[in-house]
Amino acid sequence: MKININRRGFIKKSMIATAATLGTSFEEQALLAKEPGPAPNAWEGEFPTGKLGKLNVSRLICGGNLISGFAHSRDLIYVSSLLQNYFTDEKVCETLAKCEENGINTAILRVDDHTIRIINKYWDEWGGQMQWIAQAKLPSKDRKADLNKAIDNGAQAVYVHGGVGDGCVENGQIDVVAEAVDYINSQDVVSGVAGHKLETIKGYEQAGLNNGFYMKTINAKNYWSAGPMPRNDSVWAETPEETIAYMKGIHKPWIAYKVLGAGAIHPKEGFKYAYEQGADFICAGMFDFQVAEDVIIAKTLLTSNLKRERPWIT
Amino acid sequence: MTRKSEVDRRRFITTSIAASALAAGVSFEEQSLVQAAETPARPKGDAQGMKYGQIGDLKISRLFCGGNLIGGWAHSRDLIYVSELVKAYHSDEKVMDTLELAEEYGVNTVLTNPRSDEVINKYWDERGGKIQWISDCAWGKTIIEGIQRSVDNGAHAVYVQGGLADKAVLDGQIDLVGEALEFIKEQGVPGGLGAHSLKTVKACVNAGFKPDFWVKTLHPDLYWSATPKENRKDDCWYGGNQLNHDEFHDNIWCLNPEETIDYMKSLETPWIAFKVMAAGAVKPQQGFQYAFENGADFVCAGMFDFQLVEDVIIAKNILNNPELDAKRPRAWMA
Repeated sequence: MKININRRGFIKKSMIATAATLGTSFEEQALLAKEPGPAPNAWEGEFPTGKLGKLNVSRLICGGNLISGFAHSRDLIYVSSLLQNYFTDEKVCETLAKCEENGINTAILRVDDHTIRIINKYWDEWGGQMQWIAQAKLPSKDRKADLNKAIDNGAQAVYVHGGVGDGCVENGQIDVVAEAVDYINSQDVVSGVAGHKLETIKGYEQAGLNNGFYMKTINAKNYWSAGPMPRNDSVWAETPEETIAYMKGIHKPWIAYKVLGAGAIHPKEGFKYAYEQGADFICAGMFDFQVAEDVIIAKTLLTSNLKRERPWIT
Repeated sequence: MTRKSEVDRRRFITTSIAASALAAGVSFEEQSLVQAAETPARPKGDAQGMKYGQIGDLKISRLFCGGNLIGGWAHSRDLIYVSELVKAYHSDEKVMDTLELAEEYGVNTVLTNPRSDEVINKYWDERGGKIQWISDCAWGKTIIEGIQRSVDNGAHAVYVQGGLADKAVLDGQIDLVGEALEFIKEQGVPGGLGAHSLKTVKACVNAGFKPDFWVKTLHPDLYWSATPKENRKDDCWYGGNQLNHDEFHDNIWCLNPEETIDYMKSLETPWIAFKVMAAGAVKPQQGFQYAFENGADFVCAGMFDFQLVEDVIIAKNILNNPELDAKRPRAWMA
């Protein structure tokens, strides 16, 4: 693989850009106050990894919602459209390359023609080696359609989408998920199941699924837009304390997602919370201009004395 | 007792959920994602034939480009990344493409911060653009510095930015606003006064200031992220963001739209309404209609390149509605 990005140069440029904001009006100051502080120490060495079945996976994984244009932007109408316009094919490939250059070796992406076209372009034209964990739905017309599409197109792991899993457990269709997991396993691909609701994970456990990993949302739910009821595409982890307590008893790898509350929590807080509360991996949506800083934050946390009660499962 | 604002919000959300339920066969999360990502059907109509009004010697399109998106100030509530994304998206080339597209569809003016002078001059010089520039003068250590930079770099009109004027009034320094206005006029360009707070407009009127135009926020206030009416605090913009969701968090810019509409009826000076979409939470159809039907002479709206044509069609349809004049409580002042 040949990716020609200078890591140190990129980090330095990011820091200069941040420091260049001087002499602002108070309206601007209020806006700037939200921006993160200077980047932590420059990154050295390999990024920490863990095992997901047979896969060696970076403990920070690149999420795919941003690339697919799903911003979860509460009532801000334009943000998803902006994502779609920002993430040209080239920009997606550039972002994945930047992730790999910084030690992130895995991305969680949807199963659709758009994604498959781009990931193949990235592998073929950019020489990328990013591992793909595919987020599969289980359409009633053909439960295996997404699974086969993902596996046939090179996914190294496949999991059942959290919303789909929530629905199946709620509607007493756990067998649908169980069959999907068994099918993924039969294809010699690592299998996972996801849930936004803790009841979903409990349902999976009670059913004794043969999944290789769990994906469960987690964040401290202490950001401003987590407050208003009814929800408006704004909260994905309603019961974080209960989730943390329950996950302590789970002996399969846990990939935590929505750890930044879809953009409302700074990675310094969101990553720390997830790792300290037991997550083995974090899946985080990252723009190209955020990758280096996110990696530094995650690496700093992972090499520090984390206060975890749940042991690393992998 | 249930608060009225809560009821209104719930109704709004219920409508959204009901619409989502139509998307059969997908999960709840998927429904909301699909709904968010769907491109709305383009409004019918011709994008050509923009309407114009007059401020001083300037002929100005009744819909024109705002500059916060170009400058990267997204006012995205607690979403940390949006401003940075907006900046990343708006390369100089993209800004110039957007301005070019605007001009192609009759939008002949952009309102921005003095910091944008470089890209605007580049646009004029390299692309041969003619777009007119209204500067908000919010740059430098003093208001005068911002005005000077704006005029020196080709601004066609300058106004005292809403935040600056609000703060001056709040701090008992209204005389600075008056001096700034006079200084703008001495430069030979139309001079305006901006405000988020209606108190600022009233104070300026009471002080006898005679701006060539007002730049005052106006938007409907029933969107999900708006501060509930009973919790709105005067000058909330200058007290920092709060963690309590019922309090300010870069989420509302016209605290009292009805009162604003009522007061602006009495002013016979052109009114540029801004934040008419509450920085992204109100659809242009609703925001533009609300502004024009309630007395605004012009609407300043942040527009991405991919929104511009649709926004122009919407504005044009509203402005061409033969019933519009009858609905307006205020005559056209420009």
